[in-house]
Amino acid sequence: MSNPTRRAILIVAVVAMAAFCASRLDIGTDVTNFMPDGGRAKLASLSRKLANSELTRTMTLSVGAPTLDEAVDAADELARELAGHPEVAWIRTSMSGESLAEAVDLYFPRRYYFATSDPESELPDLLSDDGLQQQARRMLAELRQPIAPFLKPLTMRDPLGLFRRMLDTARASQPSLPTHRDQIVSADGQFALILLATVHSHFESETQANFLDDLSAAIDRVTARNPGIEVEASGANRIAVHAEQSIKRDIYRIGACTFVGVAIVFLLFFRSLGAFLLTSMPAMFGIACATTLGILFFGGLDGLTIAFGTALMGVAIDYSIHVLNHHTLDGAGTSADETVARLRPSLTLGATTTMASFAGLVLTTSPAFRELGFFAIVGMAASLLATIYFLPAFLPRPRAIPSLSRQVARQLGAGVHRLERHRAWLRLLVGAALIAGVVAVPHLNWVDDLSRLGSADPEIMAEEARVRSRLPTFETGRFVIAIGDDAEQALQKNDRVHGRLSHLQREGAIGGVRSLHQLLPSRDLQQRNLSALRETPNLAARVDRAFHAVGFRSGAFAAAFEDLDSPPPPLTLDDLKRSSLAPLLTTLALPIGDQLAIITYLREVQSDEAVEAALADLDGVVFFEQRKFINEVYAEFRATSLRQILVGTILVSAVLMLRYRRVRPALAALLPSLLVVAVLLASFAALSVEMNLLHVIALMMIMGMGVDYGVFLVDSADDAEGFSATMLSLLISCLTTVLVFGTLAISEHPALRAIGVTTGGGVLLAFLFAPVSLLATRRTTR
Amino acid sequence: MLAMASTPGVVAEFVETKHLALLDAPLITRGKLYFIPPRRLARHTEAPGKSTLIIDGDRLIFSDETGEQRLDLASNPIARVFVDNFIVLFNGDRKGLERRYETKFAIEGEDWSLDLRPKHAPLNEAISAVRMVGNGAGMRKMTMTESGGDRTVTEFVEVDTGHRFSDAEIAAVFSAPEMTPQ
Repeated sequence: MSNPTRRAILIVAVVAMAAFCASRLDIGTDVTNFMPDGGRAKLASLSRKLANSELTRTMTLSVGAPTLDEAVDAADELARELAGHPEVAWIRTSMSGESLAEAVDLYFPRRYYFATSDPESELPDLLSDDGLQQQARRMLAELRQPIAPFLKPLTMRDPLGLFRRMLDTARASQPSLPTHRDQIVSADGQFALILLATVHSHFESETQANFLDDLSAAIDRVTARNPGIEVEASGANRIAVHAEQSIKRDIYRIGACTFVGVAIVFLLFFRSLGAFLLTSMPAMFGIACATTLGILFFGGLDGLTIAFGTALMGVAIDYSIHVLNHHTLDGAGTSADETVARLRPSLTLGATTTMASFAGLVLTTSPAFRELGFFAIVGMAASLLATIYFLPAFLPRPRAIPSLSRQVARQLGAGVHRLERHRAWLRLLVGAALIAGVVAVPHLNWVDDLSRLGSADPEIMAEEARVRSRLPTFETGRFVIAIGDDAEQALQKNDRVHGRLSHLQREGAIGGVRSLHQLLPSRDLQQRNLSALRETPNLAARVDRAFHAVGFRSGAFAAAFEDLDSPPPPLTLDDLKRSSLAPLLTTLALPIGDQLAIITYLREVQSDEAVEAALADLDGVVFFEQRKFINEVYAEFRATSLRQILVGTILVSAVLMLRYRRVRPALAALLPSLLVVAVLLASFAALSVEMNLLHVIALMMIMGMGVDYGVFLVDSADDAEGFSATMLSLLISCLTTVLVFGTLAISEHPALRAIGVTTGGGVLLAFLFAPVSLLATRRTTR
Repeated sequence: MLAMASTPGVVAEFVETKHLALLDAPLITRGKLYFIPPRRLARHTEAPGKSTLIIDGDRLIFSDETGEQRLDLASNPIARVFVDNFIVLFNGDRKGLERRYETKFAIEGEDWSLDLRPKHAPLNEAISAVRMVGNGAGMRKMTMTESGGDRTVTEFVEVDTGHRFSDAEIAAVFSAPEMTPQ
């Protein structure tokens, strides 16, 4: 096939695939995909829903001023500035939104269903003669109050005070929010507080960044009109936006260094900047193929799959550098196709071993790992195809061999040749490195705390802490989940949860509980309350007697018991969904799969162990700590990746043995990757580096490169000039990798630093260990 | 009205009798009322039980043997309506009175009477009429008739309409006393 035809085919294919991907690509960011299918995946799904719920979309603005009245005035101005903003879902400055009328309509007729949380133990006391007399005296005292005329219509129909008990319980469960002139203020009375929720999740950084800019501008305007005020804010979006902007600044800075460095390398050795684009082309083809087939096969791809798969193409670029370098050093007398034909066995073996190292992922139970394995295998195969069949069509015939390339290649070849005399020392070095690696493994410091991967701005975090301390809220990171196959089952479990947590609250183990139970106990509990009241012997007569004894007219409350005889049906979840209380359900009752999860939020948890112990025997109930759970997910991801490295190494060894059919060359090809891992792990253990998932991902990439370096050298060992050229290929690949990935080591962010240090250090070690491994394993050398 | 509006402060003992259909016998409460125009009112009852109602600007505090409740009237519309309509009966704000009530004033010798009918909901749903009787700047009796027929009659004795409160008195009267819960 002619060069123009091959070029056209590649370009059309890439453009077509890019267009397909752009129209169909649905990038997910669901960490549940990294979990094995099953129960924990459901919890992770719930965690993700709550992470994107109104709870995390809520911001608090705190306005301070010389006097509280000035703070309230400024808060009012600021709230009015923000109220019309399209990104503000709601804004709240007062408590007057609570609709008592709606609560009366919904709950008063059903007051008998809501009498107690434990009718069997609470009602006997409430309905005893003493209890009824106590209630009678309480009602008499209420009638003396000046506002009695407004309360009487309900009072007359509720001698047992059940509705009043419901309201008191509901109010007691909420942290008290003091107000001043109808404005929510901090408990110490120093700050006016504004609550608002954004329309979009805090993960949608561009939207949130724009909103925060507008918020800042609004604050500036209000501050200019009200000298002396100070506005502070808290919200998950501030942290997310700052983190992303910080990482972007880092990447731009590092990217500039990378670009300049890579440009210099390609100019020095190929005298062409375009050469870098050419060497990237097979990798881009690989990414396009893997993405296209991934969409067709899976329907969509996880963001982490694309990110990792794309990074893996950094391995594929070594193949095109190898081809380009040999083509350059072959000179004008050899066509690109001839160069590729000579290198084809090495390129094929290199790509095959990389594919083998990821084959194990396809067999895991995690959907995302299967995706990752598929992406890596398809991407590498497509990159190999492009390197062998399409890249030659783009390579120009070299005019002259760059003198620097020729000199460096010769020096590298000569340098390795000089090392032959020291094979014994090299074998010792190899042995020592491997032993150091094995010894280091038990001493590695694995840290799976995701929060350590970020570098939160201390000023922002301090402001967050100050503002949060001014508004008592329920924790969003720890809660209790009751899961049922249907609403009634979930509600019954939730009733039991509420009982246990109430007991803990009375003991002081927790400060408060926010539960759906206060709005909606199970139908079973509602019916038990009604039945217990109806079955209480002579209740109406006894109420009449008790109230008459303190001064009420006999028969005054006859009408009240008509509701007991024919109440409306028990309250259901659907009733609540149709009421104005429906927005509360978005964070209290969530479907997961075909089940329902009911969430109970806790405040001021003094002892996690006490909460866990109190709930331990309840089936389908989990005390969920979001941060701990996510860290466990990533720990599992890390563990799976480590197992994958082991499985991959075994598969790679098998492929090398199949190819070489002798131990020495197979070992020479495999050893660089093993030595890199051994030395890196020994170094990390010696320096007590906190290792995490990103170190493992970088190791997977470096091991692929190490085997490739080994294969390239083994296959060119019998040809002195070819060997020198290959050493130069390895040097250029190494420098490119150091500049593209290794420069991340200078990042401010621990996550990027982990990748940079491991990749940069690892690829340098791979470059050094590739010839060492060859010499250490060869019986004779040239 | 002018006299009521210009008074520095009012202290009066009261006997309140509630005639309620729910009860066998009228409910009688005795106590003392303190008022500083335009919006400070304290009502301390001593018999049959102790209770305190304090209205101070936007702050309402009610406490008795069962406990204490504090309300920010700005955030509680129903309570606000009650307080505004109650306070206006004492502070001589004629325009405020006429905004909220239909008024009918009559004079009989040295005595005056003022009949009020609430104009707006929710007050006119609970209260059908208020009748105030007094002479000079002092009110002698107030009768509140509810829509359901129940009636509250408050008689004021030992009325001091020119009382000047000291700071110590204000602090004592307008703070909720500690109550022993029953």
